[in-house]
Amino acid sequence: MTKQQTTAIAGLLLLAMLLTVLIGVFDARRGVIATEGNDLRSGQSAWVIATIDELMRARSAFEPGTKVFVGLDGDVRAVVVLSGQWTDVPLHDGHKLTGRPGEALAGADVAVRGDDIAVDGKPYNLVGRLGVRADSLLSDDVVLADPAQFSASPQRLLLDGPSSAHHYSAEFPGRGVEIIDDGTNRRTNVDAVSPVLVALGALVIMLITVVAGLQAGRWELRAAAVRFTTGIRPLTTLRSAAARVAVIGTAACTTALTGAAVVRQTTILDLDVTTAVVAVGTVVLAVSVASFLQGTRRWNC
Amino acid sequence: MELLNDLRSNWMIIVAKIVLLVLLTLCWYNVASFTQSTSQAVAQGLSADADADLYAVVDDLGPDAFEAIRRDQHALDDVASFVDRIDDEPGFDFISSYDQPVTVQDFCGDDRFDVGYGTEYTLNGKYQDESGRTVQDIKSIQLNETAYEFAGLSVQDGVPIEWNAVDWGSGRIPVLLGNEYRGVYELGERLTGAVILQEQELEVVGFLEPNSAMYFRGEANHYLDDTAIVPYPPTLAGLDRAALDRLDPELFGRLVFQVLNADLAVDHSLDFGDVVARLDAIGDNTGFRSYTLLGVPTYLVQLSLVRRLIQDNLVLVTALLVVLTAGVGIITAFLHRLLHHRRAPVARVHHLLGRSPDATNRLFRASRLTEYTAALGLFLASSALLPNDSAMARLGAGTALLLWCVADGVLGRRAVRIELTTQRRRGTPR
Repeated sequence: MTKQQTTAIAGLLLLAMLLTVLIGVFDARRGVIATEGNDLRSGQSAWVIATIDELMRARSAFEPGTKVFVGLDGDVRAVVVLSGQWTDVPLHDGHKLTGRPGEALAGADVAVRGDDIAVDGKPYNLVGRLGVRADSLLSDDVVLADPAQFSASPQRLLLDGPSSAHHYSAEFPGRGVEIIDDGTNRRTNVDAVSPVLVALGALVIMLITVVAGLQAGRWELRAAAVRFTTGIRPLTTLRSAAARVAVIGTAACTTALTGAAVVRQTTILDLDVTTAVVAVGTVVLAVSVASFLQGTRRWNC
Repeated sequence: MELLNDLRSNWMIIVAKIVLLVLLTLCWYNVASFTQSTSQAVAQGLSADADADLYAVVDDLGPDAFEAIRRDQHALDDVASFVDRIDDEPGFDFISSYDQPVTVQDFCGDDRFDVGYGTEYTLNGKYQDESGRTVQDIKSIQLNETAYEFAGLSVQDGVPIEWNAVDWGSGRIPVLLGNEYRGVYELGERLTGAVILQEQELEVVGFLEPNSAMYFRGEANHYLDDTAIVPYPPTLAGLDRAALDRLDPELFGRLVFQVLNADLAVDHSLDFGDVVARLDAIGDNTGFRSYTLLGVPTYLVQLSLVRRLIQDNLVLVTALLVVLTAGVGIITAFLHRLLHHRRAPVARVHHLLGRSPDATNRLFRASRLTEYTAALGLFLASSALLPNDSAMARLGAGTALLLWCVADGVLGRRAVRIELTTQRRRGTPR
């Protein structure tokens, strides 16, 4: 490849990476906005009557991100994460719950003492402030990570997570489930539009990657044809060509991951684009090698 | 013939261009439909009209005083005229709504509509009342015309409530049902149910728009899809008391106090003192002074926060669209150049044969038209498959697609013309 061609491929890859990070930011931000407008619920939410012990025993039946809330006094509630991590928490300061009992999240208008918050005389370690901004729909809310706040007898619990009501009905057949959906997002069609936009964005990224890979393979092919006539084996040429594409790809991936790390540091977004970035890098390498091999078959019989 | 040659040798680039363009247009379509739904959401109860200060009017009668006043017809008349006077006061919007469940006999719906479903109340389901009839307590909001207008509610099917014709004394009240009631009850069907403990015949006159919401008791997003809307009578003082008393002598008292406990939306130009002064004047005129006025500061805050969340989403979606458009623009330009380079040799041969640049351009017209028609057809077909259907958005995105195609065609023609007519510079190797 000439310098110009290398620049063109690098430019295309960087564009794909930029789009990947932006779609990642979009998705994470949309998630926290939805959760704030949804009073901390995401996914499918349902009121159920159960004990926390029953749900903990059946925790393997639920998908990652499923959690149970119990309403305590006023705007205070306790949470237990049944499976995986609670990721899309809208926070403007601090970090999300790590899973250790005794942690708490509180809105900006809740009075705290330093890093501690007392609820019914019991101290909790405040790890994050709720709300995308300080003045938010959650500014008076408190969330406690404390299984001891749940009663041992059956009580009304809010189950929330991907297909949570469905899994609950499968696990506890015959029990009542009251599915609820009253978030801000329901006012608009954002929940229908966003996944489509993300999917279309991912398709555009894939197309850009495939075009970049095909083009890189084709450009490498010209030099390879000349090298073939001088007696160099196509596989040797392929190795050096693949190495060149791999270097460009790695550089683009590193840039994207650095960008994502900067975004994670400057905002409190749970941005994880590593898989997507690595996938883009792998696809470009695979497509360029495939296109190169396909091309060599014309003269390398 | 050239069409087939062109498609055969350049099909990959053409298909890539079509797919990219269709994807981009689908993004435009989605964002357009989202923008439309955002403006509808803002119009429904979040508009600038709803930017008023909200106060709660509540009676401050103790249990004994309350019982006494309910038995005293004159005192009840005072309360009724107090309510009617506030309602008529310029600058005041008297928003009266209450969520007393309606007990419906032989209810056709399932537990979704039960007053306990998804709320803090317990879910009772269907049960036998004292007379042995099967009844169910269903979610209901009783409201007046101002509350209905203030929430920006509207009917999708059927007719809006004729507020002036609402007559509780007749034993038949028109009701609107939430969107989830479709298929459970039909327009014109009649339910027998107890509203404020009084049995009435409820005639379904309309269904609300899907996802209708109103501000209710500190909650900005109180959805009404599973709720029956029961209208209050237009005035209290003008009610046919004799007819009402025939139904139940205590009904008027219950109704008056339920309507009285309401919210008052007041223009920003009036401060708390002005509102108190005006209410005191009305109280002096009508003889009812046992009320308290409470500010509802959370209302405006919640309203603006909900609106801001919706706008946050809009900003995000638009930003993503701009980046996607730029990305697709760059990659299409790249494909465009590639396609041009592959077509250039054909064009040059035609030029050598003495054809004019226009005639040469006509060679590729068919394949360009095929490309654009395929893009438009694919867009129309795939947008119909998406969950959000909007004719306006389809029209807008389709027009943008056509403009993009026109620009693409003009640039393609221009590139061929430049390729053929540019003089070769002497001494520059080609």
